[in-house]
Amino acid sequence: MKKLSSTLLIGLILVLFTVGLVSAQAERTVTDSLGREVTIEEVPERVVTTIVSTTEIALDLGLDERLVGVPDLIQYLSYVPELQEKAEKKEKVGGFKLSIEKIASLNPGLVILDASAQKDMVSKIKDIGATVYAAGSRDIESVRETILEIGYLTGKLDRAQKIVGEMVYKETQLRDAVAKLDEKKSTFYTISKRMYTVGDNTFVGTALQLAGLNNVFGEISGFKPVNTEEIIKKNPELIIATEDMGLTAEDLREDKGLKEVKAVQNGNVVLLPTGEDSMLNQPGTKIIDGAINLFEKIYDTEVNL
Amino acid sequence: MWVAGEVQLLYLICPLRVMNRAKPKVTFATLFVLLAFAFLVGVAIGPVSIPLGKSLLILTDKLPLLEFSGLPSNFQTIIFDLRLPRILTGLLVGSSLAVSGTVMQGIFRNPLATPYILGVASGGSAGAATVVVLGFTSNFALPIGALIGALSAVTIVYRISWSRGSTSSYTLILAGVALSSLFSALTTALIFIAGPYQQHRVLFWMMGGLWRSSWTLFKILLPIATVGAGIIFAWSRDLNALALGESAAEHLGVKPALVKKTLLGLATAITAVSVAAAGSIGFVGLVIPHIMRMILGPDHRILLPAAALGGGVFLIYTDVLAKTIMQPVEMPVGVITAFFGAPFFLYLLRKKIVGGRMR
Repeated sequence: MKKLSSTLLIGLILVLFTVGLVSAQAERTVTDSLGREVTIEEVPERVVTTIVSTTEIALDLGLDERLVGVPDLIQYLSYVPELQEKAEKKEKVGGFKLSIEKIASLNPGLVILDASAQKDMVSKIKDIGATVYAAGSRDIESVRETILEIGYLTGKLDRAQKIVGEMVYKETQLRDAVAKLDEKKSTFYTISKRMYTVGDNTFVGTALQLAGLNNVFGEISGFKPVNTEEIIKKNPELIIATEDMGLTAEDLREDKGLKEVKAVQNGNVVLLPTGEDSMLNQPGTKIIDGAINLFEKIYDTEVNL
Repeated sequence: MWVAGEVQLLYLICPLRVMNRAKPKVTFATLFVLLAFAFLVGVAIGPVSIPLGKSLLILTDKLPLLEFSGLPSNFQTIIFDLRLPRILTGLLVGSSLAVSGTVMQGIFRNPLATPYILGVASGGSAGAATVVVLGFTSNFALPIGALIGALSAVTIVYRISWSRGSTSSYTLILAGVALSSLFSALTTALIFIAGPYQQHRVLFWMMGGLWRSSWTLFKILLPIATVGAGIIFAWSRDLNALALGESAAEHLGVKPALVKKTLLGLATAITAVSVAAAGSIGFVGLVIPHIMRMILGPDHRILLPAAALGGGVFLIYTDVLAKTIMQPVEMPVGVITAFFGAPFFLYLLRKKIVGGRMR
């Protein structure tokens, strides 16, 4: 574990070093998650974010004054109520379809898009004269980079470094705690009565691994429904369900098929309230806290922070 | 004229006077064998492999007077609570869709008519979406919402089209198409304003499938589907008369308006219940009636029960594939029905044309 933590720290120092080097110049340039060179002449006074996680990042960086636009579904920021409250006061720029007109009317200097879901919006936003930065949400590392790069572009690098530093520290401590486990629990994670689950290649999948859980359907790609028989076959020790889509613990306990599963027989069904679930889902600054929360809940052990 | 052209097309696909068509007895015997085999396949094949012998033991185990054979209880759950209700639900849904499709094609004399032509599926989707967006989450909220949506859609279509106790098929189809668009737009709007998780729920439902099957659902479905189909069967002679055209039917002493109203009402009711139970599953209601008509000819007295069996059998087999083809992930069954239904249909169509039985 020592080795792992030092690797992480060295990685962090390297990232900070590179960023620090560039920051000596007046003009700021970063390469975003789409591999685009993003150059900013001066610190942007008006910033628009289009997904919940980057809204959270921007607010956590202290950009409250400069943040002028946020996505519609800001209720998913309920896991940090004070930030949600701030975000609710901003102009809404759309949900899964962004309103270009609305964004243009806010006259932003910087628009932060999501690299995977909003790739096709990049040129449209550039057309209205704003600088576009595409935020990464692939894994924890790309989230760390995103935080540093947004911090750098907006002149909040110090705060970004502090946030990422804490994230790395907490992640190291969490990994140490996970390494001390006798055995990782085999887990079925579901978001609906349809038995939709996630693969390891999703952001939630990453968070589950981080929390020391073995996803029994790790091999699938993205979000997919599975047959109840498959769950009986995998026989997980633990079921984690999210209540967001109206799933209740009763539904799982009373499911004819699931009563054959170890997790239900031993009463190991955990229902995550919306906020705790968003913490695992949102590729923002709270992802490690979300994983720690889950770890402590499941294994009844505290992470040494 | 539009109607005339469509009628010609229907008869191109199903010539009224085909001399060497399959004998009904042979076809029905084949269908029953296929059904029995579908039960075996459906019970024995699934993600968890249970040997056929054991599956049968478990089935016989539940019969009275037989001793408990000491098989693992999870095998029993899988076979009794997961596979069996799913096979039976598949049978009812497939049969209802195929019977309803046959009725729609017969009444509208249009080969493109499907069970969903009067807006049942889009009404069902809109109903389901409304329930989700309003925040109802109980187990039966979605099917009930879908049922209400489906029934309101067709009620509106009927109310608009019917005047003084009768209507033209033309008006009904147009009203159905227009209302379907309206309800689809409503569904899209609801998905648009819904939260991301609500969007998922609506989309899962719209994909359709038999995953919701349970004994409870089967018990609700059984009386409606069987009584509905039973009455339709009893009216098959009138449907035959109607296929000759409304004025011809009247000469034969059939009241076209009454027949249309009754049969469309029943066909819609069984479709609406299927939609509520399994979402909208495409192709069964379009292709199975045609396949049966190609094999057996257009006499509805034979065609309707054959379509019922054929639709049920088809859906059971395709659902087994949906469950197993991409393990551990479950495919939407509608993808499989289209994948197998469409090529088979094209093959039969080609064979008919090349066979030169019609010009």
